[in-house]
Amino acid sequence: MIEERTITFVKITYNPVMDFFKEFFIGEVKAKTLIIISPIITGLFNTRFSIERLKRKIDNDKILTYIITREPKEDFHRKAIDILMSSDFTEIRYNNSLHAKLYICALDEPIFAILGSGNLTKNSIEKNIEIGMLIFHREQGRQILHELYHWGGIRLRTLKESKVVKKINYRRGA
Amino acid sequence: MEFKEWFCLKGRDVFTIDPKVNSEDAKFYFGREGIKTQLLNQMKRAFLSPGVPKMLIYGIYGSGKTQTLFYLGYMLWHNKPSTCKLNIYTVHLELEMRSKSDSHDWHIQLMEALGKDRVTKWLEGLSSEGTNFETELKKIFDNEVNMVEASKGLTRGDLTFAAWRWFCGQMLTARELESLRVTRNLGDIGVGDMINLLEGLGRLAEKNNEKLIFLVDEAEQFKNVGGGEKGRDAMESLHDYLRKLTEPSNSTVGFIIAGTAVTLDDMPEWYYRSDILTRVGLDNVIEISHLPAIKDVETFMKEMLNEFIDKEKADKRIKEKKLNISLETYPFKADAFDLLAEYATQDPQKALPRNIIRTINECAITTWDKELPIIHTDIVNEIAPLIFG
Repeated sequence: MIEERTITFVKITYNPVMDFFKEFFIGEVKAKTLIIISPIITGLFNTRFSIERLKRKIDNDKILTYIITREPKEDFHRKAIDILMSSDFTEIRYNNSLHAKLYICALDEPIFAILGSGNLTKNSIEKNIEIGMLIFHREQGRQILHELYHWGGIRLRTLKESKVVKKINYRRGA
Repeated sequence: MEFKEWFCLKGRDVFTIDPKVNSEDAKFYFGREGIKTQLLNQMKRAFLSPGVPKMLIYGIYGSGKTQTLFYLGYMLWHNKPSTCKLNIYTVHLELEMRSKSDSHDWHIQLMEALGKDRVTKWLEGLSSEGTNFETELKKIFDNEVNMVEASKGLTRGDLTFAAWRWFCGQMLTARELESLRVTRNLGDIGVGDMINLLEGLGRLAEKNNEKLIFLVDEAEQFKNVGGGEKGRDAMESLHDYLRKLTEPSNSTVGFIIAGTAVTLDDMPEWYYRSDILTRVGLDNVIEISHLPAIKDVETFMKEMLNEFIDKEKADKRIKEKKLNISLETYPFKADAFDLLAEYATQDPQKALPRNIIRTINECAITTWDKELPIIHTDIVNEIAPLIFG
């Protein structure tokens, strides 16, 4: 087993999705915004952090969540998207050219992100050989996070191919 | 159609402003005529006396402190005050402090942001003047032999690395000190040592026809320092460092420091002690406030749209599609424009440039998603509560 290495603002991870979720669910940061960019998404059923659990956390914590994925062709992908669609706090876009995998957790500023190979799937967590970088909001990591946040939160969402299929429905104070 | 085409954007992809991603965005400073005038006037005066700007900026999160720093950096570079005869060299630093960080940590960050290459370039510039290099160095560093020797070391290939570490205030071994021909580490005898070096570097910059100004962001990081006796010592050393930088005798190293704070006393006590404020001068302690009145928000939005929209294209689009809206508020319908300004000012604490810009951008994205040509009130009603609610 290769040891994970931390260089203060970035940690190399061999299970990027799991490590992101560990930070997201168990870490000290109570997210305000979440960006999930993954070509394929599955329900992650029978795993520690299922999509159902993710949806519950998004709803409970009122996290504005921006999801960009490919248009589902398979049932498992569609089921996961259906769960996420049922939240008032999610915006979902399909972009069939998407190959990037990026996960960002933000307060007013991005706090940490994973940039790596892992789709949001059970295979990525349990079987595939994956690699990624967990980037923290310190030192040079701040500028990297800033650029990733701009790309994922704005640029990718405003590409012609990124078709919106569901908007955030939540009304604060309503 | 692409997003930018959809809204006739002029040379940009989206409505957001982010000088960290797009350096050209530094030139924007919307809806803040009062603060802009004050900043530029203070800057102009500062080059007459004390010779460089020394400024403390504060404001709540999202009020535009970072944009202010970038804007000032842009103006100093592209449109410097007539009172400054030299070129201006600005150095941006996002401060990072931990519980036991002290003046050494601040110094090393300033030095790393300035960079070895720049200091080396200035030294090479000095040596190529044809005058006696060592004599000039002695004048620049006020006969401080260690600084002269370390500067010489910086221009010698085999000693460059050790010399730079000495400049940064890192602890060198006895052997390294000996090879550099210096008698002690920088800062061994106190904070003044590091400030003397910085001031010397300011004079070195001037010899190269440049004024050195640090633009320090995220000063709220100073709040991380503290805890126990060590924390108190660390804070005192940071206070000494800042106080010495603010001394009237420092006419070579400028600084503009910005931090998140509702009022100045949100910052650590050492930061706003009277000795600091007296030296800086209250006119140079500037609050970047929110935009409390509807009029302020409208001005902000109009100035922003005026810069971002290609008016010729927009005018053509309005006429061709019979959109029946004013060019001044395009792509907002007039009532949608007014509505956004109202939302923005419902809670004065949220009437912030960051929120306004985000709302404009999110309204535009939603309009584009729906393939509508202009932003209507129902879209503002959909988006604005998410941000201002």
